[in-house]
Amino acid sequence: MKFIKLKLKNFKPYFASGEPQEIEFFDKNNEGRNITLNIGQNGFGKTSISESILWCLFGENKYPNWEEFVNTLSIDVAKEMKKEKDIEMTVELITEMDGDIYKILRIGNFNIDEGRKEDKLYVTCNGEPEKEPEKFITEKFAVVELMEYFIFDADDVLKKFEKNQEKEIRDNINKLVGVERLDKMIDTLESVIKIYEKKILDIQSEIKSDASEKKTILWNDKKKKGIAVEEYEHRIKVNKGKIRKLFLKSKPSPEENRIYSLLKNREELESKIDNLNEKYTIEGIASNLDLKLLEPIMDEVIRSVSRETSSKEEFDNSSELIKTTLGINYKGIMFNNKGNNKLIKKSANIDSKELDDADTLNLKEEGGNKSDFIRTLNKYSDLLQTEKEKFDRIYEKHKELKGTLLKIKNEINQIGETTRTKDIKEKINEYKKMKKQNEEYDKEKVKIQEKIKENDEEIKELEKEIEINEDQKKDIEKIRKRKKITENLLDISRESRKSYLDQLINFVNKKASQFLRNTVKENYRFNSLEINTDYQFKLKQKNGEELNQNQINKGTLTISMLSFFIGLSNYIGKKIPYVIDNPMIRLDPGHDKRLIEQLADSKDQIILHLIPGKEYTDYNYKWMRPKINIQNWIYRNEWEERDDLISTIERKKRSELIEFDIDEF
Amino acid sequence: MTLELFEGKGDIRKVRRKKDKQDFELAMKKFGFKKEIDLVSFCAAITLHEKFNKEVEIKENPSLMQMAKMYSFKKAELYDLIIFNYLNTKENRLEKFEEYFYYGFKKLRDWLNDYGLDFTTEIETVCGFFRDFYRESE
Repeated sequence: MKFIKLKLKNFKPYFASGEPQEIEFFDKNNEGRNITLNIGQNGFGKTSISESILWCLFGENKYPNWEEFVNTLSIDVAKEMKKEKDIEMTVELITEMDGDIYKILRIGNFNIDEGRKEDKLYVTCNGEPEKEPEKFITEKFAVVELMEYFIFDADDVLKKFEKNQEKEIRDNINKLVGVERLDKMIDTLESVIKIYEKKILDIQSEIKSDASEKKTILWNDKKKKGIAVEEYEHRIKVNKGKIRKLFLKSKPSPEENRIYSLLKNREELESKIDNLNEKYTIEGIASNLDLKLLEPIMDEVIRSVSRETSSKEEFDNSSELIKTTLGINYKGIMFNNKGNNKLIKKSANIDSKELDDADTLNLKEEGGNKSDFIRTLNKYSDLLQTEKEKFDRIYEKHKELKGTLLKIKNEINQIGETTRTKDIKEKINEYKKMKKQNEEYDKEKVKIQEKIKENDEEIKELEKEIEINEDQKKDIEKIRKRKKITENLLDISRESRKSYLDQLINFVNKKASQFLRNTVKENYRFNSLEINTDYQFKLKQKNGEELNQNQINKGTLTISMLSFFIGLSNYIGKKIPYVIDNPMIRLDPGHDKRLIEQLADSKDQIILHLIPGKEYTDYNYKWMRPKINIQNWIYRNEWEERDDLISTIERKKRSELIEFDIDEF
Repeated sequence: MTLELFEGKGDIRKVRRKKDKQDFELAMKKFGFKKEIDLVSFCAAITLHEKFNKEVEIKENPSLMQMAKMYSFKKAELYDLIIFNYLNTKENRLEKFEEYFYYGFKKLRDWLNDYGLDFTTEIETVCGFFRDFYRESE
């Protein structure tokens, strides 16, 4: 790529009222000569040329406040003319790439009244407009951050390196390979892994791992208990079978038959009592058992108060009851034909004649509670009635069954005691023994069944606990998976960081060493320049030994740094012309010569901005002359006291040293 | 209804002591009571029944704990009216109820320990109790 021409309008000191000012960079007639010189004093507009190229390519991305670049004279003129509010600042860079001519034009409009600004990029290739100019720039050039490896002020770069070598090396490397981003990513991933580990530990500490063990033990226990219950049931069954066999052989005696039928009856009765018990439970008799006990109290009162007529005798009869049931303040209830029941106060003087005039109680006012009492009694007496029926039915039935059962039991006992047959006696004893055994078995069975119930409840509790544990285990699994993924990412990041860094450092070290060797030819001691992964800079001898810091002079260090910088630009791998400000100020004579020769020999175009007298000297011109393609001279137009307004640039003969008066500087 | 049930006190109580509790549980099981309040009212009714049939002095100092809210006891009205009218109205009715309950509970417990444990089914226990109780009160 070659920069052919630059057209500037109102960019910094390059004021133009009509056509833009042109700066030529490359003349095809001088092909093979790669150095372009722009010579001008400090403050005349050399750096502005570099800036104009960057603005042309990247606009606001490079210079967000580009309105500051608008030429101040053009603003003043616009203000003077009043009608003109918009100022146009344009930069057009004409380049040549593989035989094609590209025109890159950026037009910036700045409204001086409103401070509004707008810029637009246009790119044409051999006159044909590019559809996506921004994309074209990124593809053909480098991204904005990396363009400073091609367009830079050598003086500034070296100053920075002098100031903080290690930081500068690191920053530059990071910029190129994104190591810093990877480092940040690695830090983040490491902290994420730590968080995951902590979470796992937290959950693990919560898990009561013994819950499932306990559950297993309880399950096994339950199983064993279940088997024991079955065993008892089996034994009971066996005993029952034995009992049957005791009396039911092929030819049983009448006595044996009788005993057997008694036993059978007994069993039947027992099962009937069991059924009764079931009824008792189902009908919910227990919930109103108390009414059964309160029955006489309620009965008596209700019976008394429901009388239609009253007599002295009845009154006296009821008095006792009233005293105990309705309170000590009343003598009794007076009943009359009209159906008005009157409670007689204790103080009342009662005889048969005076009943009508008795000290009666106003039920509504004083003794509402009494009428409530009667009403409540009535209400519960209805309930009692139904409950009583239920209870009595069952009670009577039970009484009957129990009576028969007792009889049968007695009969069985008597048979055992009165029988003369030894055999029967033995059988009865055997029966009793087995019956007793069965009862014991049954008791044991019930005990175990209760324990199984308890066991089940405990298991339920444990299951709840275990359920949580299962969830927690799932959580841990999830976290572990995530952690594994994160660890993989971390490995990849570390690998990438290492490989990127290694690749870059190897490449840059190689290029920079080569560059340095060619630049400091006469110094046989140096063989290579090396930057390590800790961003430390080292110089090595031919035998591979490191040079001590005190063996390296300042000039060597400076050129080494610049070599490193050029090495970095090589790494970007783009054939972009170099635009270098003040390349020779900090370099030792000889170093600068070989540096620029190297750059020019590599067929890269180099545009150098030189200060007359300091860099552009008779001596320097002489060695540069064969390589010079174009040389320009920057003038500053004096405009009364405003000398910063206008610069113009003029192409000079390449084959002649531009003469200038050294005293001016 | 102007009556203030159990003088406005809020809850029904049951036995507190460990031994009493065990007996309470046993009685629940033996008689087939589904709710504790059924046993509590049954015990109070035992006392009332006894007092109705013969003069007995009831002076218990029970150690009780909260069991249920008074409104959940549907028969509160009945008991309150009986106690209110049966006794001196000036006395604290709930306290009386509790004393009646405890007295009855002790009776029930004694019977259970003496005779009731032999019965295997609920119906047998209940019938046995009524048989014995009526005989005693006759």
